[in-house]
Amino acid sequence: MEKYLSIPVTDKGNQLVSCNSILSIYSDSATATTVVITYKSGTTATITSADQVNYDMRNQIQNEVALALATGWTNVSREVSPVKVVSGIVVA
Amino acid sequence: MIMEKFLILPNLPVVLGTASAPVPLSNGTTDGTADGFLVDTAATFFTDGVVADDVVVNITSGGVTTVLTTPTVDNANLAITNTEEGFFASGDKYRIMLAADANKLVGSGTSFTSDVSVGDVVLNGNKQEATVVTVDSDTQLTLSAPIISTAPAAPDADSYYIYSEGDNDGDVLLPITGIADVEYIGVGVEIITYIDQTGAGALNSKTIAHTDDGSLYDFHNALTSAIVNAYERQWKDVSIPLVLPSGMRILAVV
Repeated sequence: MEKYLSIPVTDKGNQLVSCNSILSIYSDSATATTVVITYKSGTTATITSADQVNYDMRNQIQNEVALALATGWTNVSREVSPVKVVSGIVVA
Repeated sequence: MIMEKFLILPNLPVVLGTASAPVPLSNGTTDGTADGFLVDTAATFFTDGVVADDVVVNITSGGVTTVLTTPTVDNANLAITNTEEGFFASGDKYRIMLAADANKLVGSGTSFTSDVSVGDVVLNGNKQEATVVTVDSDTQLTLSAPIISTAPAAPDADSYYIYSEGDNDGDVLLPITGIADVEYIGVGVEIITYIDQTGAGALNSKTIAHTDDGSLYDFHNALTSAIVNAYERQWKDVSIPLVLPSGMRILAVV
């Protein structure tokens, strides 16, 4: 069952990010500007925004992933309204 | 069990390359205006061998006309058949082609007789379109319009992409299982990155180059919608066609 978050990114439209095969969702600190989704393969998707407040972006991404995976199989994409404007999502 | 899904990317080029001819007799940028004339004070039309009935292409606007009278000296306005006001604005790029060559596309190492058919669509690097009128040989085509030239270098007119609508119409399957991210990179470029890597730390991705978006995210939205739609369908619907926005073409998938 493929699931995606559809996240608006400045000057890039809505970017699809996978909710499958995730190993971890991590931020360095409560105010970090990045949330890193690490997949089981080692591939990472780094979501960059303004400074977080008490891990608010990380928590939101975690919640959105969980909610996406909890929906039926025909609900493939979940629109996210980020608590912080997302300036970029880089896969590495 | 993994549900495998594919997008059918429609109508990729059956042939693409860089043309070795036709070579323009002259090319440059206008620096003035006069109705019925091409004004370029730096031009050497007489020396370049420009004669009446040669084909004049306004690269900037896409307009095409012909030389009205053979120039007898350099550095003079060139009389053209089209007397329409504003056919040339100052600063427009132009090229002048020998009439017999103007609508040709000459490739090298190509097999046009087997790969190309009359009616196929040709795009140049500047995304202007023409159709194939005759397949002259393995290396030469005659087109419906003078869109190919080796100069000037910009905007690019020597690159070409040929699209067929026949049995061999260039459809390709794009795997969409295990996608990590679908990213709009910039005008005309999209990258799909997969979760699984090709090796340690080596990303597995597909780059799709396409003609410019009418509005910025037309292709991106069509692509992401098609991916989502594919997974909203039953497992047995494995291959789902990507419907391109009107007038858009895919240039390459690598």
